[in-house]
Amino acid sequence: MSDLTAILVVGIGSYLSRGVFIVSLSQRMIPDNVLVALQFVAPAVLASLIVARLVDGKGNLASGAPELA
Amino acid sequence: MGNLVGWSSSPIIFRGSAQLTLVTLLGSGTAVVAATTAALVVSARHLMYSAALAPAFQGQPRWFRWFGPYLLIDQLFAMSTIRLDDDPRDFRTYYLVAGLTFWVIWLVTTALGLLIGPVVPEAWHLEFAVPILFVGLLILGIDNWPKVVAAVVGAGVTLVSAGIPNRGGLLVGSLAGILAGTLAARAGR
Repeated sequence: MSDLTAILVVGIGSYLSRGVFIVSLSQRMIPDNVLVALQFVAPAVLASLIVARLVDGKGNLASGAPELA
Repeated sequence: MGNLVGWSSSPIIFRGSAQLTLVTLLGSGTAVVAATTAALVVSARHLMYSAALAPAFQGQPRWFRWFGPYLLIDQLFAMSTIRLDDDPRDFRTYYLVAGLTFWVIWLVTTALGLLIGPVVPEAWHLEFAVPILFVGLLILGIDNWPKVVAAVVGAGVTLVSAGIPNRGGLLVGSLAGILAGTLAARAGR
């Protein structure tokens, strides 16, 4: 597999991970209990992203890990 | 890896952390399959974004439901979360303007980075800009106490699972936060 093939595979996989629920759920009724859980995705993920960007792999405060850019 | 092939990951993948994982691992001689797998694992949290935004994509035109996900990066997800209750047309405009702005900036700056190298002085500490943006959007989005529970548990579990490779701690922490928020909402009813 060449570098360009790898980029294409990751591109397709990445698109699928972002699109799967947006596309598949857009024409369906989403059950109420799922909607309740979905409202907690934003606060949970944002809080996790903040922590993940500020600490390194050992739990120490990092001054910015470049792989998180 | 040639510059052009490296840069092509910007329009093809358009996900900073997946691109950097892939390009860094390939550049350091990691087997292509292993590097590809690692980059895909880093993309897993976007499954949660896709689910969380699905209600806002209901009632949107087909082209937007298929094109929107391509623009969906951490920053756009964070910015979208405070506009989920907009009417469909306003949400679409907001999402596209913000998303396409990020897209243009990312394509141009990754090209400049390859051609002329790092241009932003490290002393500016721009790496803190994104966490600060996220803090602001997190606070703006909190309108009930179960969301506070979700955020606190999400942050805490991410911190204690910081050692999991491929940013797995982010996934574990986020899922723990969502679960905690859901349980708190149920308990409060």
